[in-house]
Amino acid sequence: MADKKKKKLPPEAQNYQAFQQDREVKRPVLLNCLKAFLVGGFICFIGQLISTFYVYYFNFTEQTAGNPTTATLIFITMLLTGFGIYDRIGQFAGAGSAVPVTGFGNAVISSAIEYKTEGFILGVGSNMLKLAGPVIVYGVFSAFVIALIKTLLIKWGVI
Amino acid sequence: MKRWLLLIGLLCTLSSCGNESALEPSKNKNEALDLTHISTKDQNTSQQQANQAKAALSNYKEITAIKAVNTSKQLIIAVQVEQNQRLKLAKIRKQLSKEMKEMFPDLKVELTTDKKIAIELEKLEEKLKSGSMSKKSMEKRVKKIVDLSKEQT
Amino acid sequence: MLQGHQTWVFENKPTIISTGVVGGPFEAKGSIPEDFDILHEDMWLKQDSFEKAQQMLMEESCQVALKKSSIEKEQVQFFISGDLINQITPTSFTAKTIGIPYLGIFSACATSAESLALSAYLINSGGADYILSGTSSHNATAEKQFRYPTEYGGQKPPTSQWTVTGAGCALVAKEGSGPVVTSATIGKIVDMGITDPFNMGGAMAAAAVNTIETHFKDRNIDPSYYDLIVTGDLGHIGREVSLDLLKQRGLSIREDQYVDCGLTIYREGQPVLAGASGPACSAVVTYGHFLNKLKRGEIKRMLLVATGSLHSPLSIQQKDPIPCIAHAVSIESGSDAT
Repeated sequence: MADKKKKKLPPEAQNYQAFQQDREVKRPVLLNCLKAFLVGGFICFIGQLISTFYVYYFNFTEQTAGNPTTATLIFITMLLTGFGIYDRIGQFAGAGSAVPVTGFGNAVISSAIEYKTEGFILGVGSNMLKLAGPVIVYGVFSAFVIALIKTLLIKWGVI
Repeated sequence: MKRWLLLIGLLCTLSSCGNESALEPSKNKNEALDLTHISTKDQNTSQQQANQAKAALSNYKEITAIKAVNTSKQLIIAVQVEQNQRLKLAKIRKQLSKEMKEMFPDLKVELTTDKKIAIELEKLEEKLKSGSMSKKSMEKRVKKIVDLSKEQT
Repeated sequence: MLQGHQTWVFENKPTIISTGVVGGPFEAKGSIPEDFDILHEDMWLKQDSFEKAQQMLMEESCQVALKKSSIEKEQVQFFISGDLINQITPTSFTAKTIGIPYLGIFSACATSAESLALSAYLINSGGADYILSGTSSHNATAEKQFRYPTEYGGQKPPTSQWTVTGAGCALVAKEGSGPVVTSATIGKIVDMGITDPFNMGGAMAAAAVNTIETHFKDRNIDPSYYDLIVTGDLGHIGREVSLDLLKQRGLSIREDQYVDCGLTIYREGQPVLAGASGPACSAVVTYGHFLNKLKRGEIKRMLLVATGSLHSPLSIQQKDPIPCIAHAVSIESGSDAT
């Protein structure tokens, strides 16, 4: 895909891009993976603590403790986002803070804060899911596709 | 490269298909097992079946704790599994549940691996042991715990 | 006047008689806080929105520039300025407040050089006696416009840059004491097919090289003529790329002669990744830091090459390459300054 696009460019631009790429600072992928693993793991560890807390002190089973745990984590994210800490964690951890539910919460909350100055209906209301919207759309869509495949496979007797 | 991928794929299939039954009972008794046999003076709250279940389940090395209570109609068991065996938790639960149902065909058997149920059953066991529980209130508690275990998100 | 293909030489010596430089809290922690006239502690500047805060920055820098000279607001003929936000509204609202006839311009981060070049041209040709020229940017408004919400925790690549919160304004006059604008080269769009909006330095370097090369060819001078060649906001990557490319083209520019505003304004250790950017970056650093150096006599001649990437969020999403531009303005110390 990228090669196809590159071929259309004049040779001068191709040369320049190669020249530029030699000097470009690359993303430290392995280091980023490690940071993401550690921070993401730490967030999950906190989640496990909260979940265990709910199991021991409230009337939740391991099954049903999931919902209040998620809510608590999102609440913590809300505070961290509002106080301007979460974006720093995000810069450090990358996927580690984006993949857990806290990342989804941060995407919604940060948009809501950002568009507050444009009013509550057309500002917050219509822009709140600007970043999180695609997650919902494609989450629902891929769930639909998978369900369709499973239904067909069962019908044909494969599984 | 391709050969490596094939090899890895093969290993994956082998390792996942290998153990059809998740657990094997061992001959020697598990010593670090957390369970208490309950003897009640009151015949109405006899825990005979629960004790039988505990004895049967204690043959599995991977189980670290068993809590069980029975009424005349119902038997509820909560088992705790060794940490690294939790990867196969669903399989283990299925296997043990089937086994217990076969062992007590005339009781409604409920087997769970949920920590919360284990905590609740432990409290109930304590009460039964001290003998301060009537048949009615025990049945009520058991029903409550069974309902809780069936609650879904 | 016109010399070569795209360069103006100003023989009537349009002079920068005063400047106004305003910055935000992040700039206050940078490496050149003493070169600012006003530094704010608060990103909001006590306004309702970041856009209003940016307008406030621009207004203050105009007021400071006027106050430092003995010129009244009514004596100023034109206000030439622009910024990044939507239809350059922060600048237009500033023009409403100060009430000076207004020319709004846009060339993203090259706006500072464009406005200075136009002002110098108008003054030089007798079109005006006094012109205010400047530009502003605000980190939060630019992030909102071009990237993600301010508090969103996305990871930026090491090539991305930090938009400066601030405003810089110069009062250009027909006569007076101060640094003199001697020539200007208007750049053309250079598009090398780079589509990554997180690597603007790398994209803009080509435009900078093009303009610098043209400037020296049109004026028929050697790079050693200038004590400093100041690029706008190329950052680490753009600076390295452009310097190597200039050397490849046979221009001998020394390492210490070639500085970048985006690398001057912040300290090591501030989380700005590849460097600073934004229209205010070149304006603030040039009108503050480098003009002070000129006035102190540490340098005599400098060439400001402000670079801009003229993309919009829409063009990026439609996968269009980033069109880049660079304008050059040479500033030399006046006859009465040493």
